[in-house]
Amino acid sequence: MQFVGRLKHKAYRDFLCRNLFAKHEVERQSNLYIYRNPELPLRVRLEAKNRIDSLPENSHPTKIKNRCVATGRGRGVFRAFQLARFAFRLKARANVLPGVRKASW
Amino acid sequence: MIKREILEEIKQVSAKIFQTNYKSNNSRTGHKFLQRKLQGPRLASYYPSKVPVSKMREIIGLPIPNSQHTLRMEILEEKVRKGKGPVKRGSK
Repeated sequence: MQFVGRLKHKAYRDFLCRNLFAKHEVERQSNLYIYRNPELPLRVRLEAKNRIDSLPENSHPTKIKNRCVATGRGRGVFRAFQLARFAFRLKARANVLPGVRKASW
Repeated sequence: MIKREILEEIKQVSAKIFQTNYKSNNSRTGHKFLQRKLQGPRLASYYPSKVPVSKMREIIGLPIPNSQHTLRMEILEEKVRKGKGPVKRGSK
């Protein structure tokens, strides 16, 4: 696992979920294929389903959430900046984000 | 309108030529899960990696000054000079 600095608590949990997902992704996809293939015998398919269910909870892809990298906020996060709306505002006003300026037209 | 048998033959032959898979009954083989690109590395590298300063000192080996620490020490010095330093235990 990479060094990630001082993440907020929920962002750290999301970080762990992402790593677990990456660790078990191949196993999950291959078992999904077996489970969803009607040409294979039923026993094999059920065994594949059991394997998927026995994977750790936090390795599920739906547990991953794009959190703010600065504050750990789960909502209002812009994908382009990986920042929640207030953190984005602070950084934008500090001229740290390239190409971002106050809108007026 | 082309006949269904002829259409099937055309599809089989074209699958051979282009080396694709042909399903005769439009059955679901579950192949889409094999075709999916693996997203693990991309999702796992979402948070930017920041090496903490203590680790950097270990890696590089050179003494890196801890700016927060030095600042704190300077502020403390000034307070002690003014007589506002930390109070001893047991004194009023």
